[in-house]
Amino acid sequence: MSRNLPSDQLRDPLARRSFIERCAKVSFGLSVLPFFNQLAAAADAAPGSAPNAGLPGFGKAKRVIFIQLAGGMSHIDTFDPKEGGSKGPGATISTKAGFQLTEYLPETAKVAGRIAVIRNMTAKVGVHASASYLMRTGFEQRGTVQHPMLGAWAQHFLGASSKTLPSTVCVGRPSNHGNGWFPAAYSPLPILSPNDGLQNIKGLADADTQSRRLDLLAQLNGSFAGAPADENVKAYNEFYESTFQLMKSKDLAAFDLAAESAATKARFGTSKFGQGCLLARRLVEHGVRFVEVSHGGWDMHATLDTRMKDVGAEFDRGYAALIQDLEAKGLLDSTLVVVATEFGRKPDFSGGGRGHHPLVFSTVLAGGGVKRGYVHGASDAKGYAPDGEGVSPGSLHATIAHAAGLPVQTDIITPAGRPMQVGNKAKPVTALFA
Amino acid sequence: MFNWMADLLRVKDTFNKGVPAFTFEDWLKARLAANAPWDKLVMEMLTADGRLCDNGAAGFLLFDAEMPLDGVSNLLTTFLGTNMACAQCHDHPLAEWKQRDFYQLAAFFGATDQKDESMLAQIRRTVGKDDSLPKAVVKRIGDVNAYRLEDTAAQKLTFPKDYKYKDAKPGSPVSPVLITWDKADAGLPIYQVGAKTPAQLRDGFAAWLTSPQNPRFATNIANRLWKKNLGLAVLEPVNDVDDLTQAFSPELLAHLTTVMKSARFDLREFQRVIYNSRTYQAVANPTPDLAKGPYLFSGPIVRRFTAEQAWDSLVVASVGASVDNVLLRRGDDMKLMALPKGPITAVAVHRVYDTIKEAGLLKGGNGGKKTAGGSMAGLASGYDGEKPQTRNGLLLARASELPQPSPENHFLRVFGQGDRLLADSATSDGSVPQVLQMMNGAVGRTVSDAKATAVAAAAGLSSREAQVDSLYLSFLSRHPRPDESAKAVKAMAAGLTPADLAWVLANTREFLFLP
Repeated sequence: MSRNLPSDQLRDPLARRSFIERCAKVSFGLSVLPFFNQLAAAADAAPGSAPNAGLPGFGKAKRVIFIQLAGGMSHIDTFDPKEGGSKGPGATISTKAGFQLTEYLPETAKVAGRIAVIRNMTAKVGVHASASYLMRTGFEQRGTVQHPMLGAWAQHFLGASSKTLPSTVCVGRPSNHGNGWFPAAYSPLPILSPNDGLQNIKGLADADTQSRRLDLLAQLNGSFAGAPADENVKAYNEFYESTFQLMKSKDLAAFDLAAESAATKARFGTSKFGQGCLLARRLVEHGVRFVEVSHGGWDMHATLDTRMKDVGAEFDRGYAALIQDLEAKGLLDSTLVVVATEFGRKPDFSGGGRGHHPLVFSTVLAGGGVKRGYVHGASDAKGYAPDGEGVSPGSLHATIAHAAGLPVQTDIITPAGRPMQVGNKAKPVTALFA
Repeated sequence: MFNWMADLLRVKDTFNKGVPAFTFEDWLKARLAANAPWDKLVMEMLTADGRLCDNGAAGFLLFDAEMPLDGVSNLLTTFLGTNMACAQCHDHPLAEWKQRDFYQLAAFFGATDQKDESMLAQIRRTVGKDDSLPKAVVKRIGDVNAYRLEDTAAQKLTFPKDYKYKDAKPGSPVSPVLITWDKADAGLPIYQVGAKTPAQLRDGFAAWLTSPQNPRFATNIANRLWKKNLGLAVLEPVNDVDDLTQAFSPELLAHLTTVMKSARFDLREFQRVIYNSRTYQAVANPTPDLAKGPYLFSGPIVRRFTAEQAWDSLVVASVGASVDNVLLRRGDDMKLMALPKGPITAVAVHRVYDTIKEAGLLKGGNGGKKTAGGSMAGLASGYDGEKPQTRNGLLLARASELPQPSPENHFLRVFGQGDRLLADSATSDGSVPQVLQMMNGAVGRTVSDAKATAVAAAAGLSSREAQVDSLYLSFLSRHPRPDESAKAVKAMAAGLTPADLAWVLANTREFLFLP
């Protein structure tokens, strides 16, 4: 395996001790200072000295919105239309960007000049749970280690993105231990329903009682919280302080879709996904660095002919409105929007749908320094395999990490003492960047 | 002990593909209640034979039925503190373990089969087209009966086809060989494994692993229990004790190993020794800065409640000690789905279907899924003895008597209960969502309600001083100091109620931390 940590150094007892102590810091929570975790980051090389630091696109994306289409989006019926035997029920349409889409994506076609389609994604896993794990983390699922999602990697290297808001949020799905081996405070905040927003944010008692409760809490808490200079107790003191701030913060408006006009809400579509995209836009505007939005319903074995119209339309409206809004607000160049899915679907269309097909599929990037109106790579004429070498999920992660200014191909040591790299040693696809 | 061990052994209601595994947790609860010694427990898990629905002990190995090599990796970490996960795919980058070492060890499990595919094929053949049986129910019956540990006629593990080292041929059969930590280890009598037939491989391995002579078995569990009680292990991290010289105090670790052996792996006895030590009874220190040197255990360290300790405390404060009569046991539901041994007949499958239908396990029409822990309310039929109360949408039972693990947004998970996908996955890190749950969520509401046992008990007392004293005892297990009592009494005189004080005390750091 390739690594920057020479094994001789680790066989040296003193060096081994110091790295174990570093691991210990993370595992005992010594470094868990809410939202301001610099200790762990300081232990690794500064992002600026990474091998990818000088390459095109590095650090252009200050924010990332990661859309996960759950079930496996058929590439042939969306972003990589085919003629002949593989053709699906939807007609092919042209875009001004020069590449074609299917008629299921009319709104996306209007923003085609702002997006980049990767048509040669390739992987080996055709089972939902493990493929979705792979696309979410860049690593194959193992029984012995839990890999973090990109938001946690970013918090590790770059610190917190906001003083009051979490750095990572996932909309429409649970967080699924997205912090991996990093501290639990890096775990994404889950917003299961975009319209309900953040849970448990209102106090239980009326304002007067609440303020007297807090006053008494401050008095009675003092003796214990102050006496032993324990780092973990102090961390909790800070979490309480952060929570008080959050409860009265103006940033809470980030979670409140009621602040958007009816016209805007309608543009994103009334679906949970559409409203999730709108929420994602509000969150990144308020300082959340990484937002994952999930959209289900893509596992169309026998229902592609009947359901693609509706599922595709939900995605199409939400996604296109998100790109348009970010552009209108001048945020698109500094916000990377990723559309990912666990795998593609088979070229042979039978019984109304298609089976799982990880060998080739499409993902889409937009903003954050990525080329506009661009197609990267191609699948063969049938849409069966990549034409030439494909882009692996690890490469996709390395590419997003690169855009976000994280050091790729640089080891960190997990608390279990294992060297790991964001994007699992893969190189970023720098051809995607303008 | 159950919660701690459930985290270590990955006790989970269902395995990765939704296969129910309730018999495993029932077995563990029963064995812990009987205080079965650790070597015996581990021996029972590693040598278990038969179906999971008949033999709960089989659950440990069947957890990794789909990934048996990961299973070997996991059991080495869990029982020996040996970190060979890297060596599964390549020579360990930081330690001496070679990929060949891993495969030679895994070969002891190469004559074990986990899933009865031929039985599943028989079910498909006999009732696959029978429309009177719901498909989901047939699948569930198949799942429950298919997972089992069975010895095979031959050891079938081979080196991977892409094996890249010179010490073995790619694709060639692996011969089982035990690992040593020290050259002298190989001379120990336990290294003479008397496995004459493939069927004896696993038993031979288990005898070596659980022996007091094994160079790491006693040390591993002693080190883990020390951490459980003192807040920090003698050798960190607990999942890598290969190099004993890295311990904060190798002498202490050696002593604890001796205590464990003389206690004959009786974990209750071992902990009794810890609790009676001056070290354990000393005042807790703040979490030490290990960068400045090793911690030499002048006492325990200040540690946060585990998620289960916090939850159980709040539940007892809300509904009282009668919660101990609420016991979740769902293994019997699985036993009802057991098919008779021998060839599968349509009649037998129908009989099982009728039985579980009669037992009410099919309500909701999804093949008994309601007992899988999907919905908290749906658990009701799984409770033996008293049923738990529900308040503010919370099912008020101890953590051990709730789904394993709890759903992701539950208080327990937010406070760090592990996902049980990996061993040792519980955490005690803080987060804002935790504080929001405690201050504003259903738990905060329940514990500060006039109905809560601790609140009602205090409200029944005549003086404010007595009320304050009672709530301090309930939440912090101590009397208030005079200044604390005075502050609380003053706030109550100005209008706060015992319920308000319950809320305040539940939100103090002292409630969450063990000083």
